[in-house]
Amino acid sequence: MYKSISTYCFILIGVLFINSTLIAQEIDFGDYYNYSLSVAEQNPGADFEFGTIISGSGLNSLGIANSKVITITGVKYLDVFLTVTADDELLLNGNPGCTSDPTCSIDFTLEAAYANRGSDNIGQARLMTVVSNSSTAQFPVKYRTSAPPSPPPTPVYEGYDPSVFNETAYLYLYGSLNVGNVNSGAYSSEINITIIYD
Amino acid sequence: MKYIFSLTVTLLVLATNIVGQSSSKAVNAEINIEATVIQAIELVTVQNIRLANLEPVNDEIYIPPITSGNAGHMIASGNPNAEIRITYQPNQILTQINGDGLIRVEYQLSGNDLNEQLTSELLDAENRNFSFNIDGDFYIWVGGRVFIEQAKPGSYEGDFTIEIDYI
Repeated sequence: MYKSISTYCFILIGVLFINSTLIAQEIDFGDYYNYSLSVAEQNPGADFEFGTIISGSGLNSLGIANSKVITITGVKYLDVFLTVTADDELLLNGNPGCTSDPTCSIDFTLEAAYANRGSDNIGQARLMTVVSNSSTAQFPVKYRTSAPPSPPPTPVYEGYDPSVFNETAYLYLYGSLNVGNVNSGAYSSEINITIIYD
Repeated sequence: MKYIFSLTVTLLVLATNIVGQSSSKAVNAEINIEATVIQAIELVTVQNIRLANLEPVNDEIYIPPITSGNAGHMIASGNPNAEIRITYQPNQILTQINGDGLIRVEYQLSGNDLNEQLTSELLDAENRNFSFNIDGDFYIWVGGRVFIEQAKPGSYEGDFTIEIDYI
């Protein structure tokens, strides 16, 4: 009997330890209300455009100062989890048949940064680590200072309007092309952005 | 014993519930990346202007670019069917390498998207707009008037400037 009890206690303690490593020590406030969250282009209609490039010209970079700016608008005190992924190549006329074809594909290297201090300011941008044209970041919509944590978010109450607490963060997308001796024409690809409240 | 077993199961279920919480909605966006690739414009000289066997008339040698076999011949290549603008500097002075002789040249150019000199069009001194042909080629013939009144026997050198841009 005592052996059985001690065995169960051992299992119980083991289970608690196992689960304690899985449960993050945080509260995801974004889970408790249907908060608004939106993504938009700073300049709608203006694509991430490298312009006209000479075939065989090698590296062509678009710096952060000429980046495509994406706005992320949400509740300022909530964290968002951002994922950015891009294809490795731009393809002639977007044709999938050109994938890995050196005559009609151009290598693309993504770079990204975000600014969450309330203004579109690349001087305040934090660079994101991009590996294999994919990057993730977790940050509050509005930057929190290093001061002690603020009180918890305002509870939902009758007439609660989360848009009052909205703020905009800015995502900067830029990068470079390595242009080999490719055929002339229009090359294109896509960057996918996914944002969710943490 | 039963109590301990129940407690264990309860804790397991509770732990599972906490871990299983997730955010409710994600926002997605797609951004297009675009670039337009063109071919670099290259200019190849097929034949230089040939003056050696020409007889001057009143200290002037005239090489009509459209009809003379002594005209220089160049081939520009670039983006197929692309529109281009050709600019050149018509008046040039050639200077004697070892002496003070001068040769004044007024260049005339003609162009064609076919490799046919006789059907080529004369280019004005102003900009002229043409197109590369389907193979990305454009043919240019270079002639003009050569004034030798200040020329002395010897070798001469000078530049000919032609500029071709995509429009």
